[in-house]
Amino acid sequence: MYPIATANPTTGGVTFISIPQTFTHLQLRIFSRSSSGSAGQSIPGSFNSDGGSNYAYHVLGGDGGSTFSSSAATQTNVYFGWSAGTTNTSNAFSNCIVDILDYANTNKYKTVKTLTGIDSNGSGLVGMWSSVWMSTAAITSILLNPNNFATGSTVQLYGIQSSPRTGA
Amino acid sequence: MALLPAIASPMHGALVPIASQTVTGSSVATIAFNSIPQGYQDLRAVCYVRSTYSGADFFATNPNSNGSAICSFTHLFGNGSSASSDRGSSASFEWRDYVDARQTSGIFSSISVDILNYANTSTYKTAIGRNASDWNGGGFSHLTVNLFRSTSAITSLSFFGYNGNIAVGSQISLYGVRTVNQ
Repeated sequence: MYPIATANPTTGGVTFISIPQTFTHLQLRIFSRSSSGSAGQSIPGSFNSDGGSNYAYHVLGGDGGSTFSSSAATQTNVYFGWSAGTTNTSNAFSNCIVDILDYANTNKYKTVKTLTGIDSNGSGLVGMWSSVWMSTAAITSILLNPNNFATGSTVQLYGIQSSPRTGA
Repeated sequence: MALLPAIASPMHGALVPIASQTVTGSSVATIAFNSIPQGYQDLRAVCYVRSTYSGADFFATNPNSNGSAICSFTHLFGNGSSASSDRGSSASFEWRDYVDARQTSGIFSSISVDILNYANTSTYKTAIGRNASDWNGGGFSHLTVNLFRSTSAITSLSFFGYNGNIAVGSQISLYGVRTVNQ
């Protein structure tokens, strides 16, 4: 796993562009709080600026009292898990670990797997999201959370190799 | 806000081993990592562990020798026949049931823990964990998110079981996850 890019947003979303196509997989590691919206809100995003209805998701989660699962197709966003929102405990942020396998392949649709959780001392969410982007295009850019990250959020992008890198 | 990617040295992996401890000889009450380097973006602990207790035991982690109930958790788990979710408060990060002395020897729980932004001093710390505990006829799958309501950087982690010792053969490895320019 190799670091590609880092973002420490204080407002707005984050866009990673010109993503190198030389890795096998990508991983996003998101420490997230939104400056707007409700507690435990989902983190929308898109690939390659595609705002069409080309995404679908499933989610499995627990809220501390019950379990739940939901899904939807023909969505205009991919989802990267949950973010803390303005009504969560101050200073609380979510964790999201997102794996995007075979992102540079031009023959397959892209599947996204996210382990995510936010605890707010009395409320919380923990679970897994899966999303699919119905496109065979290689992922060259990723937009995250146009709903606004709050100060303190961090987003890290990593590339994962299937074999050791060589060279100088 | 659009950010251009900064390309890191391609020759250095992001996952950097910090320390690893294996229980040998006799069981131990705790496995502690002190003076954790503060130069990484995230921490990851990989735990392959078993309890000496002949009954249900919970695996947990005490951050910064915290003695106060300033941790809280939300938990999703399945026991092979149903799924449930609960929450609570604690003085530790909770990773829940792990393999105990009633189970076949040689079986260990596989528990992975990620603590993002562990070194920052302006936010509370969130830790998320996956716990795979199967003992061939029983067991659990757990996902747990924990909140440590402190803005202090995490400088130590102490792993322990609520009821028993950590058994011989258990191993915990701690890694730093570096980002660009680290």
